[in-house]
This record gives sequence, structure tokens and C-alpha cells, in this order.
Amino acid sequence: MSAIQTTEKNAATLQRETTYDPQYTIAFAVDIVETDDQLTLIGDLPGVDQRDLDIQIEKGVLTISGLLRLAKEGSDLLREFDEARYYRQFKITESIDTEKTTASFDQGVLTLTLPKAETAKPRKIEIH
Amino acid sequence: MAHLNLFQELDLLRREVDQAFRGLGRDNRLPSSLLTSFTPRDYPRLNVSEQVDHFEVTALLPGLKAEDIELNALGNTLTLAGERKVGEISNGTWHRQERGYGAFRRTLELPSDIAAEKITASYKNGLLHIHLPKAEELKARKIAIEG
Repeated sequence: MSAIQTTEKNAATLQRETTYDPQYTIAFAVDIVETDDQLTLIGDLPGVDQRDLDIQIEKGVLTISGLLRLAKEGSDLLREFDEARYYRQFKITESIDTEKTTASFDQGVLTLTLPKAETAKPRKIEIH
Repeated sequence: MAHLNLFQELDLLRREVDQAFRGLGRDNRLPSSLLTSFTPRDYPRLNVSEQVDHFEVTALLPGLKAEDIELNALGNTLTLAGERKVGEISNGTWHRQERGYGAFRRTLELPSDIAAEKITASYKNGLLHIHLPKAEELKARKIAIEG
């Protein structure tokens, strides 16, 4: 399965997607949940050092990339994963307040909180 | 109950076929199916390397607490067990749910006995590193010849 197929369809048209070798690009697993106030994105990026993690929001596209680095020594008996680049893009709506976006990274799990702009929150209208 | 057994048999067959073909071809890394909730392969993914006096095991285990990982060594086998718990968020609309949860257990057989009491492990950035020294009696010893 190539990374192109597993990347968000909306973002596949972006040119930068093709600059990475799909063989070594991992479309990591994510959970995305939306509440009235915010969107929360949780992604599994095991083996990434915080320095190697890059999160960008540009022109309505959220890009998350990170490097999985491994120290290699000795002779391999079993090898089920290798150094790789995690990469995934998501198209986000304009209703996200990008200024207030916060991120935390703990034991390979990235939690990204994307609060909705005030105007985009659902509002209950009272009838008097 | 016959249906359940049938599925179980098919699952076992698929695992065996998976196991048989592992390592064939150009390489056996399958990065894009990494850690999804549908991962049929053994979890967690492991890298094992050997050096003169020890083995190194690295496991991809994102989002656990060090105290929730259980390691057991006996003879030449190492067992890794633990559970990844479901996160707190439950209300709201789910747009994606790809991350897997639940208990896991994987047993690994090493080519030689390991010194269970000298095993050390560390857990950082979702990677578990285990250092397994080989049993003393298996290490090559230089024997002085009296003459």
C-alpha cells in the first residue's frame, strides 16, 4: 500500500506530496474527534524525537511530519520496522482558530487540539 | 459454535501463511500498515539484533506508561505484554478512528539463553529498548594452558 493512497484524498493533489519516496513514508494512524468547541487529533508516531516533529498549518492544510530514527548495531535477527518518515496531511476548514492550536507529545503519541473560531461554534438561540 | 471455530481456524491459517512468507522478497518492512486497529500481524513490531554478549530488542509501542508494560524472561524466551487503554475522549463526532487499543502479548524466542536477572529496559518516545545479556555459561571463555 503506498502512502499516496492512505494520505487524505483532499491533500493528494498537493504537489509536495510527491516529493517523498512512498516506500519510506508512513501514513500514521490517527483518531480525530470533533466536539462543539474543538477538533482533537491524536496520532501515533512512535520513535520520533520531539525535535524531529514538524507540524504546520498553511493554506488550510495541516501537515504533520516526523522522523523515526533508530540506533543500529549488531547483526539483525528480526527486523519488522526501519527508519522512516511519518507524513500525513489533512485539509482543515476555515472555522479552526489556528492561532490557538496547541500540541502535546508524550511517548510517541501526538495530541493536537484545534479550537474552533468563535463564529463557527454552534449557538443556541433563545426565543423570548 | 461451529462458525466461531471456523473463523478461528482461518485466522490461524492466515497467521501461519503470514509467518511463512515473512522475510521473503526485497524486504519485510510493511510500514504503511503500522499500528492501525486492523493490523493483523503480531503486535508490537519488533527489531532484534545480536551482538557478541547480548541481544537488543526494540519494540514500537506508542502511548503506554512504563509501568503498564510487563516483561518476562525464561530460558531463551522473552514475553512482552501490556495494554493500551482507550483515551478519555468519548463524546463528539468521530471523523477518524484508526488507532488500536487493547491488550497485547508477544513471545519471542532467542537463539540462546539470556541472563534474566541482568535484563535492562527503557521506554522513551514510544520505543521500548530491551538489553538482554546472554547467559554467562554461553559466553566464550579464554582458557589458559598450563605448560
